[in-house]
Amino acid sequence: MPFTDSHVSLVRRLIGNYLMCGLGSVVALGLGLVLVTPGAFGSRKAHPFLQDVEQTAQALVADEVDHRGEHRQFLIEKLAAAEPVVYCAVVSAEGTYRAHSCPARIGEACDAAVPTSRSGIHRLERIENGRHVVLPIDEYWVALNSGSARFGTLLVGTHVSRDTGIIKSLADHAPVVMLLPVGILLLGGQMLRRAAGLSSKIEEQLLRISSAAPEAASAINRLPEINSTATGWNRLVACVSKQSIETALAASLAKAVGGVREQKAERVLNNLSEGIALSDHEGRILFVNRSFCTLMGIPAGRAPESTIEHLLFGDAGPASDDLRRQLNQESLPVAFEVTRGAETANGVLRVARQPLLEEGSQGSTQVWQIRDVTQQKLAEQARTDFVNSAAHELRTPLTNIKAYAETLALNEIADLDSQKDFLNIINSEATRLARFVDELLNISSLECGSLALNLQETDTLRLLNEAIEKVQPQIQQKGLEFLTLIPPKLPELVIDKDKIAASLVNLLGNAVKYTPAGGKVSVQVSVIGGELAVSVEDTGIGMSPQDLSKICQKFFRSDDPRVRDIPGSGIGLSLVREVARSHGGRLEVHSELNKGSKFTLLIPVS
Amino acid sequence: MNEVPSPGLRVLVVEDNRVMADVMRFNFSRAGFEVTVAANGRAAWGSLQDGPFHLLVTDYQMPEMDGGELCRRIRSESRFSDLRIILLTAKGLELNRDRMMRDLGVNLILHKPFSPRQLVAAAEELTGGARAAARPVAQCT
Repeated sequence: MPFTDSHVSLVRRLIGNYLMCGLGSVVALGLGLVLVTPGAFGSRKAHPFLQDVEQTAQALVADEVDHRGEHRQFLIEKLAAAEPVVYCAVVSAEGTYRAHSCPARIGEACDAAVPTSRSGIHRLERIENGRHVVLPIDEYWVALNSGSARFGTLLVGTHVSRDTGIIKSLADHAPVVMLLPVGILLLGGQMLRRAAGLSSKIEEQLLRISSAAPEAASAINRLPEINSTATGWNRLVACVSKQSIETALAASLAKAVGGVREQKAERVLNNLSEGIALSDHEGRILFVNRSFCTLMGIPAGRAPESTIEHLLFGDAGPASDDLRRQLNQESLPVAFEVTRGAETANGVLRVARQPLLEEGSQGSTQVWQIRDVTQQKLAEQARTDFVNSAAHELRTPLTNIKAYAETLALNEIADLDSQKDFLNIINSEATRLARFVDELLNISSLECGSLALNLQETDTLRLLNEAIEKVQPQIQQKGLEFLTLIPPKLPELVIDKDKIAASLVNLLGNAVKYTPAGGKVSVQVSVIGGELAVSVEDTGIGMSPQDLSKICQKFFRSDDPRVRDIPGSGIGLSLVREVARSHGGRLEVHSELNKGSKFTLLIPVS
Repeated sequence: MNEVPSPGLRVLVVEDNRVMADVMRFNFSRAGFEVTVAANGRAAWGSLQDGPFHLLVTDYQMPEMDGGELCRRIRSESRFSDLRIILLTAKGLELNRDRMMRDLGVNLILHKPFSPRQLVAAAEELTGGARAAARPVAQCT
């Protein structure tokens, strides 16, 4: 544990307190000694007669030993003459007087106390009328010893001197004076104990905190507020506990919020259209969202047992070695597409796998994102098909034009009829090319709605007749039977005249094209339920149900050789359908292979 | 096109577009080839059984049997190993030309629109060996 300033301060304070107490005790003890010592012995030194007492006592002892007390009375009387002696006597160990002066005084004194063997100064007291009365006499007792045996006591009565009185009264209080330092020491010790006890309690707690783990909550206790240190400590404790309560509250709040957030996150994941899954480093599935289950065709709600790769590729595994290699590199993101079956329409999934970087996790957790791109793929395919078909359809007449033109230019063709044939072919191919380009532009404009219809009031009957007139030459050329069933009066229509006319020509043209010589084409017009219905029916080659479902697709042409023999772009019917739709109408088709077809164009009248 | 006609060189033109087939027939005939026209792969396959041809000029997209299938079928039989094939296609960049030539065993691919003169020149070049072999026969007759 490092030795800090606070420790120094604490130690200094402890030492300071202790020294103060100690010093106080020593001073008090010294004072007591100074007071007590003169009380006991100071009078001897203060009064010269004490020397006389001493000498007399020695002389008495010598007399007792040498002369068996012959000069005892003489010595006593000599001492009694000295100032301030009032009386003096020698008392035997048994309490009888051996010698004495001034018997009256002794008698008075003897009433007060019986001398004992102890040396010392005694204040004589007597009980008068039930009260202690202190006599104004100090009695000095000096033990008289011959060898080791005591043979008596020298009593010397003196007037009470003033000094001796004070000292005596002080001496009487000697136990108090002696007890004072002890008391101070005890008090100091107590103070020290309290001061040191507080510090040690604080230190103990600090030690406990420092030895505990940093994140472990160690209880800090309040201390009794005996001084400002304890108050400070308690404030600190209050502050820390407030802080820790706040931290705990924040933590529990965060946990609660986190729980909500987790729930939310899971709900969000489940509502994503994208399939999301987590797998561990061994490929086991840890989590799947709802879309994942839907995309994979597995029951929702729980993670399947098999691996994601197995779900995606089945038993066969990844299609290419390259993909297999990429999938084995777990640390790298992988993106690929999987076709669920033989064709695009069966479903195409775009799969992305990315390692989830988590601290402390062994191996890598992988995040899988799976998106159904079937519609996108189909649209892409349709677009590519459209471009390719359009390019093909453009190239066919262009190829013919180029071939004939070059042949004409580079060959000497003497035959004028042949030349004319060639030029006619070039002309018709160029016309076909121009019409195709128009149709292409029209249909793409109509499809994206950017082509505004040029609506105007139109004489329906006239429109029909004009359309029929355009195909009359071909009808006659093929020798077809042609019937029309048109009411004499038809409502005027507000339509795009050119587009409707082109559509009618298209339907009539198809009927003529695909009806072999000797067949029949009929046009029937009626107004039913607010709609003008123009039906074009033929007895031509008809269509199979499969082809029927595709005829309005752009560029669709049947593989039937009877169709292939006739030039066509496969765009006409899709254009008719778009024109009908843009007028709020529709195109209905009925057809039977080898029997004939019936196309009905329906346009609202209002 | 001032070549001496070589009656021994036979070309089979396979084209579903009659207008196109006519102009090819015109040009090949002028170059001295003996021309047969078939409207699709199936018809062409029938014509091939009838007699030996030196050259096959075929469209790619055709009904019933397309040019690709026709070529594969021809290359699967060793008796046609000497037959030169020119493939005409209106498809553009979406085709892998080299791969197609390898897979179908085609000698040349021409994209539509093509130049008839170029086609005839290529046909003459491809059948050069055959022409050399055929010429003495022509001279003898």
